[in-house]
Amino acid sequence: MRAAVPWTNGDRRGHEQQTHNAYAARSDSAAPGRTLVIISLFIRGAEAWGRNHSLRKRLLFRKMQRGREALMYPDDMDVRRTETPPGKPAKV
Amino acid sequence: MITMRFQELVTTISYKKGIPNMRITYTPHPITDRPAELCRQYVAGNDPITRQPMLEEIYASLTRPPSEEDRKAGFLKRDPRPRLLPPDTPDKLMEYFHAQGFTDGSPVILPTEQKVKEMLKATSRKPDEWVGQMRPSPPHEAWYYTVEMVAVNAVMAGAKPEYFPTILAIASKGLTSMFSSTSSFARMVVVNGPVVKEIGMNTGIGAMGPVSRANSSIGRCWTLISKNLGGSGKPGETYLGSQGNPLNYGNLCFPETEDGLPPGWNPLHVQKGFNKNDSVVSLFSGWSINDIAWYSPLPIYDVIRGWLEHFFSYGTTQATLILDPIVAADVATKYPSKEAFAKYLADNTGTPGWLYWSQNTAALKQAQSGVEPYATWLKQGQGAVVPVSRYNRGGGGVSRNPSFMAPRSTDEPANSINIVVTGGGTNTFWSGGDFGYAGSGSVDQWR
Repeated sequence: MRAAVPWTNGDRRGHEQQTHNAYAARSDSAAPGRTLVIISLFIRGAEAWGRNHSLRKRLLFRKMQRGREALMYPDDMDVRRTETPPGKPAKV
Repeated sequence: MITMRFQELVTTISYKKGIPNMRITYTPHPITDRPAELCRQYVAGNDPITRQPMLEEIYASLTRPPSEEDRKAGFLKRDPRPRLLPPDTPDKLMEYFHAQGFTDGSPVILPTEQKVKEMLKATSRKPDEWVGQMRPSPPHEAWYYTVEMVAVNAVMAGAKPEYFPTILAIASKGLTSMFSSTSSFARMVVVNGPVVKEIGMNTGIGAMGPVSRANSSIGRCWTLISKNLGGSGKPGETYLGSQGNPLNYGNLCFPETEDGLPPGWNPLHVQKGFNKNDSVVSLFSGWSINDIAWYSPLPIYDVIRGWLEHFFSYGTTQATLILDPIVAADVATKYPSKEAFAKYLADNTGTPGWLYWSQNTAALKQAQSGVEPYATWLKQGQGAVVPVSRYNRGGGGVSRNPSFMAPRSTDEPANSINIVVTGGGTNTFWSGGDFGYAGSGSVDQWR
């Protein structure tokens, strides 16, 4: 008897390879921190601007919100916690 | 810095975020509600994991230059995911499924190719189409999943193929049923529309109990999806609920008894913006539920109001009432709609003093400084009811906002009370709990 695999290993389109060690880049320079602050200020400004213009609000505000979420939870630094799902084998 | 209880969580997340060697200092656990003096002792003492003086460790972590290991960078490649497991006997496969954490602890139906194929026939969607993404909690990575992956879990849960569009609708919302918090979350799913009768969901006696294959297996499937496709449910790493929640087994899955709604009372999905003939799942997030009948000379709506005023649980700013059709009919003699009844409840419930003061420290300080009306409220004692509703949005009630635990609709109603009608009408029973609305999804989209 054969059974189907019930889990996903976190595969996603176009994201099979991800940065393994972001620490090295971060620890040598304050630039990432400054970049985050600048981006954050930009988002806040854009939000304030968008709130005053209904068309811009529709077109931009949502985009900015998504940008903020991406900053909070940066998926592209999102390497799997291990190479396999929790409690599940690497190869079966 | 983090308490030692979260070592597994923080090391796996730092690895996942691309910082496998992140410098972490641990404190003893817990620190919640512990006196300040004890916390000061913790800071002056040793890191309980590394046994190094905590302050020195923090200083060293912040000032030590990155090592060669720290500077390493590179890429990880995910292993390909096989579609099928190697051939084996059913007994051994079942043991394997349990051992790998694929189940909810009870036996599952083994997902053979044939059974998965049968399940897939119940939707027009392609097997490799992406359904959604799910994560145990915001810091974790989201996992994406396909129609076929959901079908495998639907087979395992014991679902019939005709239940599959309803299961896909739940999966498409991307809300894990086992949110990773130290509190033990529960979820609830209410099904509305023609699909309820089409697939034989139980809207009558025992609607919320384990008597219907449709109600049970659809609800169970949500947890299997959450574990296997959403990465949830691994104690210590992707699940931290201290005591766990028995509601996670079936996720309170039941349909609304639309035939039992009083005239003027709209079904839940119509309240949420769908048409009456749409088939819809509505998801809720909370912790607990009470089952109540209280025979009183007071009208039943006043009894419900009294319960709601003194109701206390972790999710104390939101409530969902699940009324038997008999109770709904009684309430409807006074309130012509669910919205009118919810408004009455929200506007006429105060907050027990001890609860109000424990969660509104700014108001407590004002009361202690003699600022009115807080000072008068405080003088009435911890047992008195403070005339501030916990359920009106922006009403100044309890400040905890659990919205991070489940996505909230942007067009929220004026209060956080939802009302659903279900049951067989055998007596004037009703249930109430701290469930908050987390969103609805169309079943018809997934047919």
